[in-house]
Amino acid sequence: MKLSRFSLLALLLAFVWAGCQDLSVENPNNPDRTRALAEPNDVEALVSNLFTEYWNATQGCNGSPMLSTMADQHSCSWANWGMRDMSSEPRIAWDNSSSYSRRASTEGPWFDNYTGISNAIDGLRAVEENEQAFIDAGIDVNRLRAFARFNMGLMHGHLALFFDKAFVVDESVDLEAVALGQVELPTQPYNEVMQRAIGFLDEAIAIAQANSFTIAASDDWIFGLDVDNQRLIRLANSYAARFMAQVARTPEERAAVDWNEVIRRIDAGIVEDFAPIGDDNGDQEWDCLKWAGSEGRTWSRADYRTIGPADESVCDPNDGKINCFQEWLDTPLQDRLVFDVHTSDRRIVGSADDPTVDGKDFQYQGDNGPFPPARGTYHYSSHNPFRYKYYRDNGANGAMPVMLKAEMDLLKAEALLRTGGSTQMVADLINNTRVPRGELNPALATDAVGSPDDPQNHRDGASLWAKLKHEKRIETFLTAAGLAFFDDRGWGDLVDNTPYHFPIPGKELETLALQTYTFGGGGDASADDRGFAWKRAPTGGESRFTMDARPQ
Amino acid sequence: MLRKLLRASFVLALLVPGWASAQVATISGTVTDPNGEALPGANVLIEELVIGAATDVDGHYSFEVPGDMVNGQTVTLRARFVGYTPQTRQITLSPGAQTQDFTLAPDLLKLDEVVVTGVTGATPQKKLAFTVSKLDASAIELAPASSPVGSMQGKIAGASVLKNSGQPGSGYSVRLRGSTSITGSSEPLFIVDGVILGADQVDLGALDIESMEVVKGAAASSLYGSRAQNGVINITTKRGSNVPLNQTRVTIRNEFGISDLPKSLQANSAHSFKVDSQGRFLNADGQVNSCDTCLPNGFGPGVLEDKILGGVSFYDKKYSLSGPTYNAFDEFFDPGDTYSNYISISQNSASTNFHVSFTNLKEGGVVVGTDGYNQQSFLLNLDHRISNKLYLSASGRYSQSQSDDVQRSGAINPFFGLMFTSPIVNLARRDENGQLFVKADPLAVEENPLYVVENTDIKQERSRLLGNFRAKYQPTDWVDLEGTFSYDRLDADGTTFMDRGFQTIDPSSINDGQIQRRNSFIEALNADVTASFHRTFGKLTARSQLKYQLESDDEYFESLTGTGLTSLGIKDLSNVKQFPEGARDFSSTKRTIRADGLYATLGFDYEDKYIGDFLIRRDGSSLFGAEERWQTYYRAAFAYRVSEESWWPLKSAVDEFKLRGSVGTAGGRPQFEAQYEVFSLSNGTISKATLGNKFLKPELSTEVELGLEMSFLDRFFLEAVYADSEVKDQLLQVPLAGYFGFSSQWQNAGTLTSNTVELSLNANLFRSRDVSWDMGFTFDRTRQEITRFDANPFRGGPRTAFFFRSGEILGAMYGFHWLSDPSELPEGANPAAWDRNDDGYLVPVGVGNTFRDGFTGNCGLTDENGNPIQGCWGALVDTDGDGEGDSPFGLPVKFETLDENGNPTQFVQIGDVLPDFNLGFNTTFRYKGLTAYMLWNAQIGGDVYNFTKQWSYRDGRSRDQDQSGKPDDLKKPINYYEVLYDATAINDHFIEDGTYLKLREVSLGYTFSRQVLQRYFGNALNQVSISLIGRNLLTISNYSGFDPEVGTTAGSAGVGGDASLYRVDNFGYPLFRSLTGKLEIQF
Repeated sequence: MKLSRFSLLALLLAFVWAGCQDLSVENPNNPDRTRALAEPNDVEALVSNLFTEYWNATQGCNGSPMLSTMADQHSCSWANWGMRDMSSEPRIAWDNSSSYSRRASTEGPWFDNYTGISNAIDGLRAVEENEQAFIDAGIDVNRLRAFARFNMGLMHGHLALFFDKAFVVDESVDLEAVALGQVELPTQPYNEVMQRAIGFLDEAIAIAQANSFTIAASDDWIFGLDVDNQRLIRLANSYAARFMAQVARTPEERAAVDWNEVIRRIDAGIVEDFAPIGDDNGDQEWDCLKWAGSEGRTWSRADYRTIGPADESVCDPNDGKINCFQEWLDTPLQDRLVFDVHTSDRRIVGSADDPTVDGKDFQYQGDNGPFPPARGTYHYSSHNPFRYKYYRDNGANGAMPVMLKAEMDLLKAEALLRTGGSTQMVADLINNTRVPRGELNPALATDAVGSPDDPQNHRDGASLWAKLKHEKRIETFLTAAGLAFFDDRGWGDLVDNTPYHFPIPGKELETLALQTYTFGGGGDASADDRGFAWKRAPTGGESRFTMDARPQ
Repeated sequence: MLRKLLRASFVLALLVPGWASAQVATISGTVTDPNGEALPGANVLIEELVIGAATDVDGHYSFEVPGDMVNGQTVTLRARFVGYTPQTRQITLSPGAQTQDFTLAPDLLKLDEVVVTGVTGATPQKKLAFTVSKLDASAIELAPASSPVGSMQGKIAGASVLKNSGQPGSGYSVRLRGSTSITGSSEPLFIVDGVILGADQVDLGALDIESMEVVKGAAASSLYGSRAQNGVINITTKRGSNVPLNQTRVTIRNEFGISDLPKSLQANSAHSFKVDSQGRFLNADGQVNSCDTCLPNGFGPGVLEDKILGGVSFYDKKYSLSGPTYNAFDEFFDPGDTYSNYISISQNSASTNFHVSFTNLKEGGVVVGTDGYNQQSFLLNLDHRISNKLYLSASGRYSQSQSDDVQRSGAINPFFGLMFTSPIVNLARRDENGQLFVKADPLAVEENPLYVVENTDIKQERSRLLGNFRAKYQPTDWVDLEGTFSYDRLDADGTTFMDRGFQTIDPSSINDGQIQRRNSFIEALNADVTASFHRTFGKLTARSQLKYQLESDDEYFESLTGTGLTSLGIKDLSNVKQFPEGARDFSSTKRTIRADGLYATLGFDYEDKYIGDFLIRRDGSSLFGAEERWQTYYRAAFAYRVSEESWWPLKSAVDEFKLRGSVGTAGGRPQFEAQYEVFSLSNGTISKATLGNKFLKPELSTEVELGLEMSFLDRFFLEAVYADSEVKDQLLQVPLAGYFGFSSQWQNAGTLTSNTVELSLNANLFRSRDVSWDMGFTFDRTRQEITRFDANPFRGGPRTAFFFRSGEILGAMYGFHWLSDPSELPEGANPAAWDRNDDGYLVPVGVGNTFRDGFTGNCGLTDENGNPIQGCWGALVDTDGDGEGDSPFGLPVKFETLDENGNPTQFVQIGDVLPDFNLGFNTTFRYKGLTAYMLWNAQIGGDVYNFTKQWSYRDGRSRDQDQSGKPDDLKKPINYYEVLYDATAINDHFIEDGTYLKLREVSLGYTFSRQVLQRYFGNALNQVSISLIGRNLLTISNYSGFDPEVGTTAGSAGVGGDASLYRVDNFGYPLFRSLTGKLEIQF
């Protein structure tokens, strides 16, 4: 009987213990807002991640490789990330359905940039609410504000480059009221979004001009780089200059850019390459374009439309064709094959006599490459870009140059050409890389100026415009996401019917209950009428990137 | 001498009470079947005193009741024997001898078998008001699978059970009736000997199973509250109480055999390249191709497509004309051994019984060079009666396993390379150092699967402890108080190792070696106290139960990955170099779940005719949002045994006829992180992820179940059930507008409804002393639809082939449809310019041509001199009558229609994974010691998406693409298949009928009876049986992949993790068959 009493007691105790269970459980893995932003240091940590977020939204696989193939910078007929669909010819409209399997290529830039913008706003609001607490915690609020504004500028800027319209969001927008329908948050056209983006960059510049601070490389705000207030000012100016030129959708718009302001910005801009250093195997600090664009055995070749104009070979002397590239262009799309490029540009080919010698930036492959012939042998190329192959070979670690000094030089050269500036200066700026790296004869102040319509041409006697285009395409190859694409649309060099910008992602349109729309393929933001659906090239495939991604 | 003396005095002491009183009651008798045959091993006992005995070989039993317990009272004497209807009898316990003989009727239709899951106390099947399906040991032991869950396949109507992967040691996806959750798991709640499993079901053994009870839907499972909307599977293992009283039983069982693939695939045997007369591959210069990596016959980079005029080429040149060919599948798959060794000891005495067993299990798998899965487990079940009122019981199972795996996320999947190998390539070729070539196929962009398997070491070690302790106190004969405490603990450690020097086709950081270690620890603790009351008031018997239950689950996962190794062959993480030579990645997750539940039940039974059951349960869980922390569930059930009515006219023909109905609710819990506002952390950086929701509720399933049960002609038992379920408050991750920063929020935003019809028929066709023949038949059919969806429609599931929106079938696959009917032609198209080809596609051919005119038609093609040439392949033909060529000849074209908003769309329903119905059929024939058994299982209808095949189209590896041997007019160019491949976009070319008929289990055995064995071994052996067992021996199906049961294609139980629903073939380890021989000896 004693035992049974004991067991009764034990049961009762179990009951009491049970009754005391607390059903409020904290999430120990990821913080909520209260914990994430509890301390000024936490807020600073959130802000410190903004450049990473901008980076992922732009240099990640969603958008970046696709834009490169759309600009015929690198070539790839694998379907991953929209490369095949958007770079095959004839060019088609972007499929803006929320069920399109490559939809991440516009959803990434859209949603990832807005996540970053939202985090920046949280950070700025927290400082606004209790600045003293930040100061007490030893936090440099000026550095924090300048960095947040700088990144808000970059992120709005990329949205303005990529999409036809977007939302401008800053601390003044009451999102709760927007969610409740009390306040309307309208979309704004790309040029207005860009104006605001540059405004954010200018705010960052103003803070950095009034206060000195240093973002240490060890803090890793801008991967592996020391950036003080002066350098941040220069970066902001260079980005503003790039944005002002790149936001143009057409040659007319590009011509209308305030090029004097561009020159002013460039002169106040970077004096050395901007090359963040990835050190986490591409986990966050990941440059997909350099990773996917640098592997000739599986993923990438250098598109003949970019390296081919440098070809100096006489391909078939009998039929009077100028060179192999010209013959390639004259061949029907589906019959184009690999040919060897002979050129004096030592970045492309290493020897005047032997086209199979690797150049400084391009590696000779010679074979058909990895792409299935049925997807179009016009995707083939004899070379693959390998200037940044170290990055891939090192497990997605190392320097990721995203804005070269040369890019700024060449942008300035363009501005000078457009503003009737000194042709000597233009030639000098082109020659900065043309001569030492390309080992080409210098461009001359006496060369014809030409016009933005001139096709790229590296040859002596070609116009400054033609040399400039060659130089910029070869020298900035695989640097910033979209660089070649944004230049090409402003120069009028995109293949016909390529959409020159993208619609707000279909998924977002559905969430906001807006009508779906799209661009390219002969519809809006492209040239010709849209044909019958069955005449379109096949589309399809899948989206997200993983390290064990396979060609599709 | 001393020992003898001691023994004698001990015996004397035992006998003293009997002498002292001389008032003992002796009860004896026989237990026989209706034919008068003795039933040896039957138990007879007085229920109130728990004193009794087992019958001997002749069916005799006898026991004494001590005098101090004998006072002329009325007690219940109960005789029971497995497979027979137990009998109870009230007797007066008075001093002296009395004889009580029992004749037990066989319970052929198992109506008297009791179930314990979802009910208030043990209840016989015939008195249930809802469905509880039961599999007892006899249904499992004839051909036991490696897991008890696998043993359910094909035996229970309404249960879809699919192995997640053929990889040895992998678990099963189980779905009972319709899906309950769009994005959540459909896994039922598993209970093993009272332990609510906190981790998955993969560690369970099949050899100690006494019974499995399956509660399929909310109408029955409400008792288990917010974890029960997917149903409950309650597994009970053997206990000593099954052994006849005062006996010890030892069983030794060994099974050995092999596993292999029932089917090998064939790749495309032909290529499209230019070759010379000797089959050597030519390059663009017309020379025999050569390069560093090329095969001697020139196969490799530089080979040239053999294009005909029109620029198309064909896979029509046999590789075999260029040299020896190989079948990569035959090189990759290799039959493996499979065996199990088992020993158990059980003993039953009046106050204590135990069952202890040890199992060693090996499943070798079918991939060359891998060891497969090895498990050792130890089971101890112990029951002890302290007094007539207090019982204790304990159950414990410990298992450990090691597996050598082939697939693991983060490692290269060898099944990929396997599908992309040219037949001309010998994967097994080795270099001078004996190394396999990573790029065995010089044209491949995928790694040699044999190289990957040989050089990737994927190990997993698991240990699992299940423990349950139970105390039961019966202060009076109408009250039971019970407390239980149970514990489940899983430790799983995985290692993926690629040594320094590991090769890949593209250079990769893993070339410097990589170690990945994954550790998981899961601990689930459950405790409850129950008070049960049962009283009879005249014709009314009432039972009631009050229960308080608490659950506490803790889970911890961590993953450590190091890349760049210093020393060869060392798997320790300290072997990883520091940045920049090496890299280290960490992540971990911890989850804590606390839940309380309280319920009350009331059941009644009036005259055995009217049966009712009511339940209310209140559940609190830390997984619910702060404002919705407590939820209420209920059940009401009623059964009417019409055949018990005195007026029942069919008594002789239909001896049991029961109608029943039940309605109940149960819940489905949100994932751990769903309610929380989350700023995600990744390698130390922070960013917004999901917005919190303090109003997040569990999914609420309401099920109505109607049933009819009848047994007739003394041989047949039929159960028909219709279940209709509605699951509201579907947990969906609803996307938010970008500017909120948070990408999504978990919301209760949809309703899923389903209905299921289940039929099962059991028949005892023949039974005599020496011969019996039993048959079982099951049928089920499920329909399910998303009836409400408060989020924007989205695609999900494996390959995002599924579409979730209001009014949609859950299981419908969406993608592109190739034109196949003139009614689908786009506006403006001229039907005369189209023709339906031998694949069923309506293709553009131009007016006057047919699809056969690729080589002969007139499509306006000209040669380089401008002269017209015959043939249409490569030409653009006019399909809209404007005189201009606009569409490539003969290539399939996508169907386009308007969506519900009037916008053009090519995205249409192309398939439905839900089978039309499922069938199971089993039959057991016994003649004396001989037993023949087989189980067939069929799925009729239901589509599978063959993504494995689709991707293999990329490199022309599918047998579909083989044009060799086809007449010219039926040949299709490479481009034709490239269009269908469509860069892996989901389209209906790869939808295949998943219908199959499987011989799931078969066994042929012979049991040597005790009588026979006695002649040779005396009493040493109780039973010896030998048998030949086959599993999955035969699959009849038109499916072109390995097996229409394709397994899971996503890692988690989230969207796509349920292999029983999302049927997408995606480079998984195929299911295999096994054939084994078994020898079992019982002492």
